[in-house]
This record gives sequence, structure tokens and C-alpha cells, in this order.
Amino acid sequence: MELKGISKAFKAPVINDLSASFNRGLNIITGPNGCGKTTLLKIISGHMLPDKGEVLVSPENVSALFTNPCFYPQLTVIENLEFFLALSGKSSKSRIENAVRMSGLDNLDLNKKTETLSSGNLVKAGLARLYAQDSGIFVIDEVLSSLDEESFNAALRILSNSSKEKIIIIVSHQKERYRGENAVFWKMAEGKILNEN
Amino acid sequence: MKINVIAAFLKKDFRLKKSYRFAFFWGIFSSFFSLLIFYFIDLLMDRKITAFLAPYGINYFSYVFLGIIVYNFSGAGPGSIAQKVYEEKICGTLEEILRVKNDVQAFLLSASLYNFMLSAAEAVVYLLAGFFIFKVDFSCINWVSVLAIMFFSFFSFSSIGILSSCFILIFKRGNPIAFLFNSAEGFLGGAYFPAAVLPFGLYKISYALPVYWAIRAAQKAFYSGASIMDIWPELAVLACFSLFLVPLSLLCFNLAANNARRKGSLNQF
Repeated sequence: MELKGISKAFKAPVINDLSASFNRGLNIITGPNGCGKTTLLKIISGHMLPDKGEVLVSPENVSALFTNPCFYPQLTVIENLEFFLALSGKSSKSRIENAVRMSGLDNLDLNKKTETLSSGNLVKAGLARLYAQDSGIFVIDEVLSSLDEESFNAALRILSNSSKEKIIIIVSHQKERYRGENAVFWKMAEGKILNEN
Repeated sequence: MKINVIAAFLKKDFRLKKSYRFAFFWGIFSSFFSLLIFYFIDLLMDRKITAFLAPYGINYFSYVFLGIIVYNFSGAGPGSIAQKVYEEKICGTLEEILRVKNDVQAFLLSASLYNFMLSAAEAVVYLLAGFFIFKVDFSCINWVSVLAIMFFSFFSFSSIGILSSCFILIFKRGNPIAFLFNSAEGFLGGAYFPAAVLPFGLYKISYALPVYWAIRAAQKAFYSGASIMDIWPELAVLACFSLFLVPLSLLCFNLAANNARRKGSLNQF
């Protein structure tokens, strides 16, 4: 997946003529607050348009999980999953069941409204959506840190396995948690991105 | 555009609506209350068929009863599609929906369909109340004409709704089109009284409102049994509105959505 000459400014420039190529595997992006990490993810996922440049991937092939997982609070977990999967044309009961199990939500009552979920369970529900959508590219903003140690490790194990076939881009401030993985580390600063490997 | 995506949107909207049952029934109750007011105004006028109502051959209550039903249909456009866009913003789901082009079309079509289905359900309740409580005479209804009016109105009413939602995308709050159309349609469109009552200049302005033509056609189809051939001029005007407004509204919505995606304001409210 390629980014070509991406620029984005909100009054002041945030991303400046950024070009990069992401390959299959885990890609961990780090960088100080406000350096444009989330903006970059939103541009990759098609949630935001760049001022200049292009992303050489169709938004249909990207599934995204941001710090505020996108769910209808008045709907139950299962209803939300059904809806978002239907949007991606992949709705099936077995796919949802499998994703729920993978995300560690199988002990939760899925008929609970998402507005009643804890922030950790909301992230798990977001991960379930990602797993079920099964797109070629996952972008995950700094949300995994809301998970407890066990859930984090479980999520990382699944993402790491999935990364053999997918491009997985994770924004994180906790680089050390990914050290043991076969990951590519990127650092964002001053509107640019650098491969640290 | 995939049918299953539209169906998913509709299913989701009805599930959300179920969470707010009280609001739905309260809406019906408040409209029923306003009907009561008009009913007694009509009694005050001895239920006479005045000169302005003579072309329709009905009393004031029968006129305003149907006017309000059609007005509710038209209001489903300007008010509710914008409201839906605003609600999606609040949920943080608008960004997700608008990032894929096919989903945008499905979202707009399903939002329009959902509002019209809801308005139709409300209309059924009103018609039952009209028949059983207010003893409105529906013996002449031409259902084929009614369906044709609904079909041709759907596109122009929805387009106005889509246009008004552009303001929510760009300015987040404040919706002059919804205000303009809701107020103008109530006053000029002939919902509460025949537009012919208005001074000549204002009466001519009402020609520019799709709801005026829909109400005019509906009064004929409901109370005189007018066939499609009888109301073809009104249907033709509604079709012309649709031909002009549908592409315009889709173009404006795409421009507004892309503008918001560029500014990153789709989830801001």
C-alpha cells in the first residue's frame, strides 16, 4: 500500500509531502502527540481526504479502529456488528461468532447495548468488527492500550498472525510492547514518516 | 448500490427507532391534538364549504386533515434527513458511512425511504383517526392516484431533505433550507388553507413548492376520486421538480461531504 506526496494542514501543516510504502506485516507508528499519526490513519482509511497527494488503496479494503470505536450506542453489540458487516457485504452469523471469540468477547452478553460497555470491552467489540470485516488492511489507532495485559497479548497474537496476509498499521506510544514481534517501526515527526528498522 | 446494504441501513434505523418509542407516539399524539383544534375551528364555521373550498367540494377540516398528512410527508424530507445526518455525527458513525461511495448512496436512499415509511405509518394512524373519530368521508379515494402522488413526491421531497443536510455537513448546526421549506410549505404550500386564499403574488410563489402540487393532487385524489389522467399536470410538475432536484441534491451532498472529509469535521458537532 503506497502513500504518495500526502500533505494535510489544519491552519498549520500537519503532514507535509509524505510518501511511504507499507507492506504485509505489523507496522507500528510512533511519534509525539499532535504529529499527525491519527490524521495519517484517517487518510489511509478514507475517513479524511488529503489536501494533496494520494493513497493507492480503495477505502473498501481498509478496516479502521480509532480511539472512539464507531458504534451506535443504543444498539446492542451484535446489532452493531451485523450492521457494519452488512456494509462491507460480509455479514454472516459464523463470521460474527468467530470474530467475537477471537476478540475475547465470548463471555460478554452480546445483547447489551454498546453504551453500557466498558472502554476495554468497547475496544474488543471494535476488534471483533475488524476481524469479522477481514479486510486486507487494518489501521488501529492508539486503542489497544485500553486493554488489560491478557487481552492485549491475545489481540497482539491474533494481529501478528493475521499480519502474514494483511497490512496492519498500529499507532502506539508503547513501542516496547511490540518489540518481540516481527514488526516494522515507523516514526512520525514534523509531518514526515521515517522507517526506523 | 446493493439492496442488502440499503436493507441493513433500514433495519438499523428501525432498531434505533425502537429505542425511542415514546418520541414516536408523542409525535402522533401532538399531531392528533392539532387536528382536534382544526376540527373545532371547522365546527365554529358550521362545517360550511366556503368559496375557496368549493373546488374541492369539502369542508375546512377535511381539507386541513389531508393537508397536514401531505405536509408531514414533505417535512420528512427537509427535517429528518438532516436530523439523521446530525445523529450519525453524534454517534461518530458518519465518517465510517461516508468514506465509501456506494455506502453514501445507500445511506441517502435508505434515509429517504425510512422517513417515508415512517410518515406512511403515521399517515395510516391519521387516516384511521379521520375515518373513525372525525368521520371524514374517504368513500371517493382513488388509491392508484394516491400511490402515484407518493411516488412522484418522494423524489422531490427527499432531494430537498438531502440539500438541507448539506448545511449540517458544512456548518454542523443551523439549517436554513429546512427552516425555509418547513415554514414556507406550511404557509404557502396549502397545508392549512388553500393557497388561493393568499394574495396573488404569494399565491404564485407557492407554485415553486413541490408540496403545493402534492397537496393539490392529493385533495383531488382523496375527495373527488381523481384518476392519474385527472391529476397529470400536478404529477408532471412533481416529476420536473424531481428531475431537477435529485441530481442537484446528490451533487451538493457529495461536494459537502468531501469538503467535510477534507476539513476532518465529519464527526464534529
